[in-house]
Amino acid sequence: MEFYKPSTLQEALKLLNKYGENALVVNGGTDAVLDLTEGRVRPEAIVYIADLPELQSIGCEDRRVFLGGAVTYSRMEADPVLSGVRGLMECLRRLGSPTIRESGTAAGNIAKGATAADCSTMLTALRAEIVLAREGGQRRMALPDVFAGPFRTAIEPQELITRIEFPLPEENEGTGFVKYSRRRMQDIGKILVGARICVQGGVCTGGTVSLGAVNRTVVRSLDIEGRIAGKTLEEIREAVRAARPAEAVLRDSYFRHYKELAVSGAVCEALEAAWKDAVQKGAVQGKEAVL
Amino acid sequence: MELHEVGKRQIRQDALAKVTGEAKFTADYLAGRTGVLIAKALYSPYSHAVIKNIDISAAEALPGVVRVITAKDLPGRNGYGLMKFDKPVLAEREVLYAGDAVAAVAAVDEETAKKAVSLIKVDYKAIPGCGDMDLLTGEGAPAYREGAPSNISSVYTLVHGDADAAFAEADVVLEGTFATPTVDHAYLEPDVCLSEIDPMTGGLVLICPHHSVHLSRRTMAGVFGLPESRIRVISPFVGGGFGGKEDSCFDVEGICGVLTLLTRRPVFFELTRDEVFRETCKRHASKTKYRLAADRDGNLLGVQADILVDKGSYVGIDIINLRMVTYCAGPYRVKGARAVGRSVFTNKPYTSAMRGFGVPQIAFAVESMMDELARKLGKDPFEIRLQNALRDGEESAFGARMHAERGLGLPECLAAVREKMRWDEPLAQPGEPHLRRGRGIAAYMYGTGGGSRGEGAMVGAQLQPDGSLNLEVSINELGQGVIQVMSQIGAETLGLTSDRVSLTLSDSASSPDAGFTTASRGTTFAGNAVIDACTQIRENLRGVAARHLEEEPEALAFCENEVVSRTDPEKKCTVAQAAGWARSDGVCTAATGSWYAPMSTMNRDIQGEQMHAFAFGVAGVEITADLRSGAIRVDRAVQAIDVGKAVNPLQVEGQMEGGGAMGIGYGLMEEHFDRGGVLTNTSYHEYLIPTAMDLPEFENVIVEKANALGPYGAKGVGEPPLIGFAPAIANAFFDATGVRIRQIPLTPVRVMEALEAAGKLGQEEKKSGTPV
Amino acid sequence: MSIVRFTLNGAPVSCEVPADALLVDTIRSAFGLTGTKKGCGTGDCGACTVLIDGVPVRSCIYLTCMADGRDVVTIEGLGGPGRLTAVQQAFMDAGAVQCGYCIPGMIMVATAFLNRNPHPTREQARESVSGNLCRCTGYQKIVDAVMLAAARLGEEGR
Repeated sequence: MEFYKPSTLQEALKLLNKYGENALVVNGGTDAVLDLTEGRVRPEAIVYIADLPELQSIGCEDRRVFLGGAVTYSRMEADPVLSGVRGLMECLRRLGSPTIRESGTAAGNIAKGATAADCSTMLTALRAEIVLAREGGQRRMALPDVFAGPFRTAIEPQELITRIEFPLPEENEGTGFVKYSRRRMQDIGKILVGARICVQGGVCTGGTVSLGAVNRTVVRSLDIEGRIAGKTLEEIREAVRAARPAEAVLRDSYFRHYKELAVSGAVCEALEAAWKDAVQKGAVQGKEAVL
Repeated sequence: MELHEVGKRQIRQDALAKVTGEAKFTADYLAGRTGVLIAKALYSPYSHAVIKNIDISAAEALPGVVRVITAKDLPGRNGYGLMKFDKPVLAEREVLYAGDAVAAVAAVDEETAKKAVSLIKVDYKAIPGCGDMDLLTGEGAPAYREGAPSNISSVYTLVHGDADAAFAEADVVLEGTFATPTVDHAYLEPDVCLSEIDPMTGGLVLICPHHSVHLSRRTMAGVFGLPESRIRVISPFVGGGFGGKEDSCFDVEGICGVLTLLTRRPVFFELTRDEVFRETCKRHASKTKYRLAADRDGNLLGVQADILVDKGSYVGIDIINLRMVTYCAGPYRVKGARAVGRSVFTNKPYTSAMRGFGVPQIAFAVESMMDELARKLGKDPFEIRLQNALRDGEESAFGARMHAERGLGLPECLAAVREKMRWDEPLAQPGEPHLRRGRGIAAYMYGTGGGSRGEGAMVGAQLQPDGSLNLEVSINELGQGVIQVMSQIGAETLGLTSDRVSLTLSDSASSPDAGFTTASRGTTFAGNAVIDACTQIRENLRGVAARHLEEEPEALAFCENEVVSRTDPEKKCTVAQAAGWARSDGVCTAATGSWYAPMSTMNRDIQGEQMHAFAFGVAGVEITADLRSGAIRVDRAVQAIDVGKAVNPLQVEGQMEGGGAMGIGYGLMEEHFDRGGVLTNTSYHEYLIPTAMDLPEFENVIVEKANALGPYGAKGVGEPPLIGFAPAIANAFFDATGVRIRQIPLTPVRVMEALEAAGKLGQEEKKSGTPV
Repeated sequence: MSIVRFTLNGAPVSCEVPADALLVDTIRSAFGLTGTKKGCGTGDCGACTVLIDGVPVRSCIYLTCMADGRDVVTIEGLGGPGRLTAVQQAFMDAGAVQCGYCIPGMIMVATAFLNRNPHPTREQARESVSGNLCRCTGYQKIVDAVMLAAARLGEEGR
């Protein structure tokens, strides 16, 4: 087993092209190194990318937020643009623990493809896209198209996530995130919901809602998105309570009935948080607040 | 009596080494050593199976492997256990849980040892294992072990007065079935042992963290085929025990020591965290059918309990059912009680001691029922407990006489918690319709000491020529602070300052048997023994000093490292000077001290004087229940405990907070799941213990109702703080929602299912704000 | 095998390790610094926390090779008897130490936290240690210790 620390993105991609499936990409290591120590992977090469200069930036360009593939959660929390995206901040606050967030990355979370992936759930609601680079080219993919199955993604072994982008929320767009778990820190979510909605004239004019831990992968809930369009907050609560989201397809497990009982409440809560965020932002802008 | 050391919030002596990283735990003794073999064991993946064949040839052939052993290679008895030698070092024919060791390897490094274990081929014939207590006691129950005549391990029946008559005359009879889970000690330091041949005796030296060096010695002597006198057991700092390392230590000592004997090399054996969860002992799960009879004024008349506890696969410690029937009436008086406690074998890990030792299990039932009784009669929960609290001269349900001079502080604890919680003011409800706040309390009593016949402690003390003191106390430093407590007690007795006292801890070669580090007994039993030893030394010095100072012996006072005449302060010397005079006068400055509790008695009806003194306590919580997520948050945790005397109040608070945290974990999130007896959550991210975000600020009140038989009045506080919080949380949940949950932990899963069963789901959006 | 060079407690060191060597094992056995503990090996408990370039890291899920060129500080690198840091002293004085197994990890996390947040609220202090498991203390006096250290460092700063 060889350890490589390439100093440029091109060097890294060259290595991935050479080793393909037999390479283990290590970023912060919080998932990858654990896979290694527990024998789930037996690579020929470890490719360490945490310091790659091309993957470090965070910024906003043409109302599109971008962050590099090696940006850690704690850097995201400290960033002035990202810290205005309330749902994302709430997601990070409940993710792992402070130490884990110093090493863990959003790109790593996406690449792992877990069903209960906190950050991927929120990024899906934010309508994020990833840029996948390989030697000789790159392509884009929207979340949640990336997720193929539990711990499986559409990312090829030769590819690296170099960038994550999402449209900066508009003035009347609010975001929210909810995690139902058994413990308040360092716990895998049993229900995850991300929401990004537009509130205008006292109704939701549209939005994106995502679900984690209630399907084989992180998913968008077109069902809920359809139900909330054009509705007031009170109507939204009623519409959400009427039935579980169609995309909550639960497998047999100890938590199945709990998820059945609680998922609608979680969706309500996330939408309330996003609504409140939209209204508060609007209030800050001097617009009317309607709750 | 003015005290100079006892009762002071002193910083513990071992804190310095622990904050610099210089403190050594067992695994740290490996650093820098060469030639130590690393051991790994192969554990059964099945909860029940017959072993047809074991092929170790591939493992033996691996370069770097020094020895591979199975049952046939053992030099002595293939069995150990705290109460019965029934747990095999290496299973011979049958495995009874997914944690029975089948083979073990000693190799030059960890990687080789792990590889070798993976090459051992075991041919099992799997039998369906069972982890369900009800199935194993019901009609047509499967046998947990082939040929077992019964799955029941032990039965204890408590009979006090006439329970039937009490129920017949009652105005109110309440009943309920209460369930508590299999719980893990989850100490941060994994079980580990470092063993080598003793170069002086040819016997064994074992370094291992646990609860009694002498217990290890006598339990493992037969396994090693060595006399006890040639086995030396040392316990360095223990990274958390909570009762678990009391016999899980044997699981590592046995394999480690045997490999040392067979290879003649030092061997190091440390369990992985997964192995600690899967293999080592657990707290007994329990199911209690409880009935309570009272008159219309709220006076308890009788209790009846039918208790079942999960023994797991080996006997381990089999008196939890005894302890549960003992405390079937909590801290209350009853005219009649009848409680039957059975322990049933299952194909789960063997069960043993864990902080609280059966009382958390029964207290969950008792204190939930007391809450129900209070509500049924419209009585205040504090009042109803106060009116039923045992008083001086009264007899408990287990036939023990209550002594005011040994501290009966329940009334003070109730008053303190009531006041701190501002109980007479209503609890404000949050504005959000899906949140409900509630509050609840629980009361308990807990004996100091294990209650075994002839229970006592022996310690050694040596005064050095420079006036510093060494104490030899085999009570293990688990973190509870025994080093500092003994230093303060010894210093107080001999007139030293505690910084002049050092402990030589937990080494069977140097410290006599002070008994187990369990049962909240360390401070009292070893403390009294330290007083005895230091008193002997002090009185020897008194005579010496009197002669040299030409003063009456009775006039001399020992204080602040000096000996001073009360009548003529000019007549004084340092303790060091007195020690020097003793040396040249031929007077002894070392002593063995001891203390024995009043003889423990118990008849067949579980009536008698089991422990000499009891701690009393009350826990109170305020919670917020989220009806959407099912999550319960403890907003306030208040507790008052009568500890007799807080030798070091800073450390007593630490026990209250740490024990309270474990109690909240017990009430909210801790449980082991199993499939046919195989534990399925064996990591720190699947078996959940509270993080700092899951706990409130603890508000502690230390009540001191002196124990006339305790060192400076002390009783034990190690375990009591855990007992009250789970029932208090369940009571608070009822207060918040009107829903009674009789199974802990109250996880979001149980909460949502209980709300659904009560028809209370979907109410959270009601904006009227009326209580559910 | 790779040669890894880094700074360990202020001194330049090097070692030769396989690609999958874990930093916690290298620190404890190759360098004999046993203050850093291994409680779980899966990154769940935080007992193995060290500081790498000033940032807390779980050394049981960190490859030794990843430390190349970096600045690693363990509990031994903070202070010894007679020259304790404010955080170490505060942990002693506040009664935050019981069994001691989680303490080095707690101290490393608290040290990094206070470097970044010298004037925390109690809630922030509690959250800063919420990823480190302790089974003995109920965290209360650990939070007391962080606040005590903050107050004392604040005094010194004046």
